[in-house]
Amino acid sequence: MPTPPETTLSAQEATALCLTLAHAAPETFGGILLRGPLCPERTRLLARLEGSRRLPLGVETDRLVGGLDLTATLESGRPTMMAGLLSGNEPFIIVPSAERLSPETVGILSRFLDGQANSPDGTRLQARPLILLDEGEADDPRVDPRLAERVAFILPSNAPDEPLVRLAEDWRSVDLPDAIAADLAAAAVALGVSSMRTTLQVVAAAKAIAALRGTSVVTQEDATRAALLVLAPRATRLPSEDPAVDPAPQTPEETDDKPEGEPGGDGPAADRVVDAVVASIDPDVLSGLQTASLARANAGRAGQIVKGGRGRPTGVRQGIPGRAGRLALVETLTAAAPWRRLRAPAEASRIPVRRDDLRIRRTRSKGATLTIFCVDASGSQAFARMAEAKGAVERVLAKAYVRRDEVALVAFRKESAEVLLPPTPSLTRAKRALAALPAGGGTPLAAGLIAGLRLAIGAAREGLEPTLLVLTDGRANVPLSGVGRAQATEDALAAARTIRRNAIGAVLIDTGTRPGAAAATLAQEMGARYVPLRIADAAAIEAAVARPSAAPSSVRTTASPVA
Amino acid sequence: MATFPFAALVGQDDMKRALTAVAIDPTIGGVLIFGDRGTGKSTAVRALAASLPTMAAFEGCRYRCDPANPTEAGACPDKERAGKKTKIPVPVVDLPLGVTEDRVVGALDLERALATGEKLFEPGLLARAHRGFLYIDEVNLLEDHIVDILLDVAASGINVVEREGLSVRHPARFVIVGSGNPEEGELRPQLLDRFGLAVEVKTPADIPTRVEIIKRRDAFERDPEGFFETYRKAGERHRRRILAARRLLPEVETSDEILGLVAAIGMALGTDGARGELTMMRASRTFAAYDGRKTVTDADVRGAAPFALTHRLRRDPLDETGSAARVDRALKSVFEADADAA
Repeated sequence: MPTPPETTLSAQEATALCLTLAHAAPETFGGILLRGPLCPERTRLLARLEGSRRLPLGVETDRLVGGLDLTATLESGRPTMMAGLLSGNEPFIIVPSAERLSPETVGILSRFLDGQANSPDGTRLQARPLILLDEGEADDPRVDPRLAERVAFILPSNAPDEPLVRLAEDWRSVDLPDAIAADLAAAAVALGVSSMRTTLQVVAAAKAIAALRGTSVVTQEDATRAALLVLAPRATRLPSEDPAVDPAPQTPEETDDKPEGEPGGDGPAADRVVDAVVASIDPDVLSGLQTASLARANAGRAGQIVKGGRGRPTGVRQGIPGRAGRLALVETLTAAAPWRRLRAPAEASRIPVRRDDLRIRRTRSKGATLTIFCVDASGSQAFARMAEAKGAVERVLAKAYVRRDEVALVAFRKESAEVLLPPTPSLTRAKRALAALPAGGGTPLAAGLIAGLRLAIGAAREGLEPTLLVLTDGRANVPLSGVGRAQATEDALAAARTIRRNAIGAVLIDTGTRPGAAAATLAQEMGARYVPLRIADAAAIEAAVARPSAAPSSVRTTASPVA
Repeated sequence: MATFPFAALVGQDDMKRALTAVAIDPTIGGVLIFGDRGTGKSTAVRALAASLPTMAAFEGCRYRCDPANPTEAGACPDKERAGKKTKIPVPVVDLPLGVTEDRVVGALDLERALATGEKLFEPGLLARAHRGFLYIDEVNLLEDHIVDILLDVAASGINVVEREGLSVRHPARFVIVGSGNPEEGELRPQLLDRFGLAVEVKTPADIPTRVEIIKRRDAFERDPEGFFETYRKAGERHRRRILAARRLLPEVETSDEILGLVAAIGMALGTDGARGELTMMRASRTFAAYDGRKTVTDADVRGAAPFALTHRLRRDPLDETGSAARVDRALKSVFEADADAA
């Protein structure tokens, strides 16, 4: 096969295209996800978008779409509405900490991009492009997929600063040959981009790129550039990994009835699009593709966890301050203000507040718990008790489902521990992660305990009550440093003590074939309730989870192992 | 922007059938659409509503009372409405996450209260959705206290507001269409049960379908009017069939055999309560009516059963078999037994 000249896209070109396209058609392209840490390049790029609107952190619904301006209303004695931040006409809307938006804000911004958001007076808010700033580290929650999927472009935060160019208004009238449509559809599938929305975006991008060249028909070159721009950052697999979905054999019949000699359309052409995309992806990224797709799948729920988290409220509702929530002063006054004349016509300067006016700010509901399964998946475990351990976990899961608790899964084997499932209320996902749990190798017990502890501390910070459920035989043989068997036990005991110091409720289920001292000692150091699996039927485990040793309030109770 | 025509939606036949069924008989209850993102769920609901005939209403009536329903029109709380009748499109109202109770059920009209000291009720989203669709994206993430309101109003068809001396009752009958991804949180069983039908949507996996979606979207965006014109006939056909089906529905008969079949399916699956069977029955009748038939056939029941039952199975959290597969298995066994008996 003759090798056509390879299509590439420089960082400068990519940035210019993203900005231009997002600016010209926000209802199609949504905007840009700028991913990575704060850096001088990002500052420069944002400075370029001068006159853009930057949303404040933790912005509330009223501020976004508009609502009653309490101060002005009280001053003038007549309702004064304030315009929402989304109703202006700035060229871009910059969204800082996009990975920490509340689900409500995500919902509003999504509908805003869809052209379905209204201000309180019923006017439709015109979609404008969002610049989502995501500074999250690899393990942090990602931007909510609802929003991430609506923006077509993903750029690194150190993208070069490039000027926008003008896109002809009639760019949509550029012709899209069927063969090119087929190539792009096939390329998206081959790269594991299943979203239809993204597929439509890459097609639109190809048309816009053609329009920028001043032509009226999309060529294969345009399609390839569009794929580099839109599909490459979202690729979740390589075409060769799954021959069943390789684009060549599946290229649709439609391509048969197109005139011969048109560029693209057959298998090899689609391959060229894919090849160009694959060539553009950093090899380091390639090796991480599998995990990337996992991380992406997890993103939704991980985003959810932040729901009003970090002490932020989950909403305001009518109610009496106290058990249910703290007084929301502004909202209470807002509720009382309109009644001023009715209730106390004589005292115009005072706002009488009645019981019905009281509003409370709800924080994450109390008592929500997170059960963190910390599962020893090492070789000794794998062959002896893995099935039983899984069974026990499933029972606890079923219980958690009934109580609508959240669960997380950490597994440790070989050299390290891995968070297989970040906190989720989804039983389906937990079960799947558990079923797919790989086993074999050494026992990096300390690493496993620390990974579980990290999750627990994070959850506690967000108002959840974590319980650590450790399933192991307690026989560590891989230390934190990775070498030196003797150190392994020391490290594990140290990690266990850290768990106790942090007052994390814990249960240790001894999964050894001969339950013994190693696990019991570990449990003691951890301040954990000790349950040998041999005598632990599911009910006993459930009971243990219900009463983990260390309650967060009773910090230094020495829990004696229950044998 | 113009609405994408219902008739031009590619694939997603289950979703289209279920939505059509509730358009014919809204008493079936809501439709729960779960599955992948970006599969045109919201587009489909808006397209369906736009394809339905306009409804008679009183001019200026904020409660969209039905003039043909004297009790409803007579008790209309909207004192301001003119007596003149008008035609309004079938509403699709979005219920956003994080919405306040006030906005859902309605509250004091702030503007009037502040400006003139008048105590007037400003209807909320429930009033706006009356006789139409209430669309809830990510219904599984909806706050519990909003869910409670929805359950209550959906059961009674009436929204009662009693607070601060405001006392308002108004009709609120709507079809709830909820979408969500079960991986992001389970739905409360009570709410699940309120949905008459449930369908699962998946991103189309085959490339020809995906290409067809691309081509139609492209044609629509280039020339919305022209595109609408292309599908006008198909759209009108769909609308006429819905109207004809609504008229025919009271005459559609269900034989004892069919009733027996419905009961057998319910029994085979051990579904809780009669609601599943009732919904299965109703949906089957709309299928028959949509085809212009006055009798319900086995095929209608077979088609309706998964929509009506998949989300009602008593959930065994540890059973790997999906609900859809269990319904399928039950249907096979019931129909085989039926064939043997015949």
